[in-house]
Amino acid sequence: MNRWLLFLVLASVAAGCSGDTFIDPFDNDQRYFTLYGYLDELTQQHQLRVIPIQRTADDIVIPSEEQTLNATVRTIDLATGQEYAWRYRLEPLADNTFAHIFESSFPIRQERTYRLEIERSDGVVTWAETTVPSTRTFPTVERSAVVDENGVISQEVIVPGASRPWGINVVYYLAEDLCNHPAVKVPYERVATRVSEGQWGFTINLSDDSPGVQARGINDFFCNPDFLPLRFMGIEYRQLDAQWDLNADVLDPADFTQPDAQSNVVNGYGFFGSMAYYIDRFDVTQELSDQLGFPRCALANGSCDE
Amino acid sequence: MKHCTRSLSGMLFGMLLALLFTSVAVAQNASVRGYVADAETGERLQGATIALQQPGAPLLGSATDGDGYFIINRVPPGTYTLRVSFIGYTTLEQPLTLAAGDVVQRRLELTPSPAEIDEVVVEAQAETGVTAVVAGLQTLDAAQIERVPMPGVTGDLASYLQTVPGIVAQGDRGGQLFVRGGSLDQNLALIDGLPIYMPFHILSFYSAFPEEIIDGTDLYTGGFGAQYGTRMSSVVDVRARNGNKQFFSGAASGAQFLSTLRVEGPLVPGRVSVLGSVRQSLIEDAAPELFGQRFPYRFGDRFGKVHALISASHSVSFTGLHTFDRGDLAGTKRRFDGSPDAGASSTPPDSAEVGWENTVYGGRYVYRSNFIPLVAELVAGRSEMQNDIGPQGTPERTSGIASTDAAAHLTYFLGGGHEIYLGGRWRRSELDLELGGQFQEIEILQNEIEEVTAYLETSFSLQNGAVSLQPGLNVYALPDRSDMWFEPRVRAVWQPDFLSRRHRFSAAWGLYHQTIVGLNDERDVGNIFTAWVPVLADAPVPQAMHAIVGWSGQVVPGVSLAAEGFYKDLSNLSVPVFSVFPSFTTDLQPADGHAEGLDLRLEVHDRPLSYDFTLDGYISYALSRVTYETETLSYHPSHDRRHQVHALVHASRGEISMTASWQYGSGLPFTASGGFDEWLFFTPDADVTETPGSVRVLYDEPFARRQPTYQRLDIWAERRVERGRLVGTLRAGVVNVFNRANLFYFDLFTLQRVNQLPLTPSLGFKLEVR
Repeated sequence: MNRWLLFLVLASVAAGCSGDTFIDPFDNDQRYFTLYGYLDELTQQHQLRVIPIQRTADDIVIPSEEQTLNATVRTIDLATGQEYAWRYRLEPLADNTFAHIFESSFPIRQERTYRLEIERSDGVVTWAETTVPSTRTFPTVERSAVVDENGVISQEVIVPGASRPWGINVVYYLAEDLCNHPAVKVPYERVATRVSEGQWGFTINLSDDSPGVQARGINDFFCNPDFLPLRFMGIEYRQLDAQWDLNADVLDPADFTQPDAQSNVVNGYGFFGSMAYYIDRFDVTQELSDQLGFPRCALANGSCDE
Repeated sequence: MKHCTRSLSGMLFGMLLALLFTSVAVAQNASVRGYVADAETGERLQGATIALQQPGAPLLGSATDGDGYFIINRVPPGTYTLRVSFIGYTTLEQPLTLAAGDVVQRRLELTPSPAEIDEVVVEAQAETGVTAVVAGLQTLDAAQIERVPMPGVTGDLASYLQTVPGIVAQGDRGGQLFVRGGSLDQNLALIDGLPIYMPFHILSFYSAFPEEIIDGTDLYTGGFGAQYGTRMSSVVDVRARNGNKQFFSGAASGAQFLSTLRVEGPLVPGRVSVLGSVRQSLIEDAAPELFGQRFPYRFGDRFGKVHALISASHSVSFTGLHTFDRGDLAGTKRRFDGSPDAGASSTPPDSAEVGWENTVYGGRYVYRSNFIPLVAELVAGRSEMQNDIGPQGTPERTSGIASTDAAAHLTYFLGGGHEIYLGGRWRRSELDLELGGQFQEIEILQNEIEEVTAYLETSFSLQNGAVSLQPGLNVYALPDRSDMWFEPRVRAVWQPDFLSRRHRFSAAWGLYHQTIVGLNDERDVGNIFTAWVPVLADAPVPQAMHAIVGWSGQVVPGVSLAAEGFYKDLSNLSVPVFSVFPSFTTDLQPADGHAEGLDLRLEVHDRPLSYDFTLDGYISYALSRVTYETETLSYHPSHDRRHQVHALVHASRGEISMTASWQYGSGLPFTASGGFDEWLFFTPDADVTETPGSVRVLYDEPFARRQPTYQRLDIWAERRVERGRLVGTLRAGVVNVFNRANLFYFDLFTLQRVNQLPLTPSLGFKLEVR
């Protein structure tokens, strides 16, 4: 019994003296930066937001001098090996927080792959790659016949593509000589609906659009309403790179909050993508123009062109 | 389902038939019933053994219930020796002659004899120690609870429970106990038959159940019988003392943590007694800061009970209890690397203040028939609880539950240990909560829900008492929703003759449902705040299946062992979705789970080492694993403590005694962080140079890492001096002798760790008038 007692005392003393009380709640030695940015075919000016992963939230939103970004950013065109440097600035935001912004200027080409690297001063690197999609090789947009149902004139549109088209506009080209052929853009689906695998769809409501288009022709371009025929239409959108597939048909911010959701960043979080520009123009029949209430003649050299 | 319903109906019908036939048979014999009481105080004694001995005949016997009542039925006519024994009392023997049809009433009084410790007593203690566990059931008395010391001079059920293998305490504050894998809200705590929703105080040494008011406690860590419903993990059924019916007595104690006052005595001598107890914390004022640690805790309780013996057959009691707690759980903050937090000596910037109050009041009426072997009990009362988190007066979240209970229990004694229990409970609960967006689907809610349970249970013996079985059925219904669940349960004990009945094998199995659940958010400091909500009408109801198999026995005189394995299958739980937003809001998701484990206990009973020097103690080990599974994730929740050891050694010599208590627990799971970053709703038209981001915490896999181990050694010395009716007790001790920095909580958002109590000395004095 005494031996048991002695054992218990010794065990408790040994256990009580052990220093196994430290806890480091952080488990991250592989992720260094979160970044958000994209390359746009339509512009040579590119911006990137970089957030260094920190142990405290305060260091994120109100970085002290020590927390200004000690890193360099470069982009490499993997087809040519051409390297582009990015410039850093600390940007105050409207909510009194700060953002680490990098900017660079270079042209991008469709079908080229660009690698973005953020290298911290100690040599660790967070990186992402994006391949700018090609719109030249895409099948053209498919349009159904124009339908007039109880006075509502509409047309179904199917957009082919592996990734979701973004920022779709229907463009109405008005033919009025004096106001330089104004093109009125009617924004349609911000995100098209998936119709089937590789196909996205939306419906153009021509009846609804036409009064607004004519009004904008008059107000925005100072056209004469009596001489504003509709000659052409177009469909334009941004083609996102394949990694930038916004999964949900309805964008849910909660999906984006998950650190690894919608991310192509290695050794970090966030997303770095690219987008190309696509436009498809087509003629408008006289019959449709009439149906939509556009005038037949445009002012050309003072005469009405029948 | 139809087959199941037919089977259950058949079982009920069979039980009723057995009841009818055995009632006819009982009229052929005699019966003996009555009370056993303390000859000096008149207080009725629970657990006293009454035996009818006749040379050459099987022993007939019974034990007194919580009111000191006993009944022995189906006694063949003849001459017997009535023998009454109880620990600490002189055994009483009386001759008794019974004729067919006799119903004999006896009031039996035992004279205290504290010095009497013989072999019989030692064996009796083996039936009440930590190894006396029967398929998850431990029956505790005040003396057992007092064995586990704590800051202060009296014992408390909470301190005892933390030493029970399989019960996991999150820390030494917060009062959160998890029983064999169950969550906090799945524990049913009863005081005199009425529920109390948050019975534990903010400092986890203390609860609403001080040893001084406890007559007896049934602790079920699982596998409880059909008499208990509406909860699906465990039962703590506390019977409060009735008080002294002969003369006034009381006690007062003072220590820096807690002061206590107890008064009891007769309102009508011999018939009506009153017991009152007041406890009030002092630590906030007495030692607001000790060894660099803050103690911003205020708590207390008030208890009162009036008990009246209306006649030999009728008794009635009224019980009232109020508890209150408030404090800052993060009061002892440090940085994650262990260095003191700058705010430790002032009000910390991020308050983790919590508070809760319980009020329970009600009455209990007991009728013991002189004509048929029946005890009827009616209980009615109200239980209210309100808890909040945030500054007092302007809490961030509140939740409350108030319920009205009415219950009836019938016990029909058929003799030979065969009893039938029949009863039911009606409860109407009002729930209100304001969660401030904590859970996305539940914001402000006021709800009422009605619950009805009915049970039929029987216990009987086979093989001359070597086997006892207790099958039963609880029917749980929500009349408002037309929902009903059948909960079959069975408990069994086998004490084989070939092992001289010194070894006991036990088993239990049962189904359990729960329709009012408490939601906790792992992101709260200490995870204290509980939002009580009814399960949505169209949602599946949480369910548990318990299976327990155990053995206990005395291996050598004075040394007993017990081992028990358990499995709990849990389904339809609601757990928070793991959101990456810090401290904002979360959604709930369904989960299933299971818990399994093994408990081992070894106890040494009063072992004389030398003249006037005795040693006793125990050591227990619990191995367990708790797993929750959601649609996408399998994880071990924050109360999954794999290994747990508790050792207690108590040595005494004359008036002086010393106790050492050592607890070890392997690390609890926690969710690590990969740090913080900012999240943008990054669509292709986002302007990354202007769009403000939202800070998010980069959670690692939920509960994938383990906290450091928990260990604590407490040492206590006590001197107890008796002078006539006066008893003085001086107790000094130290909690956490090695000042080990045991982690209580880590706040990922503020990077502050909250440690459990550091080395904390305690000195207290108690004066008792017996």
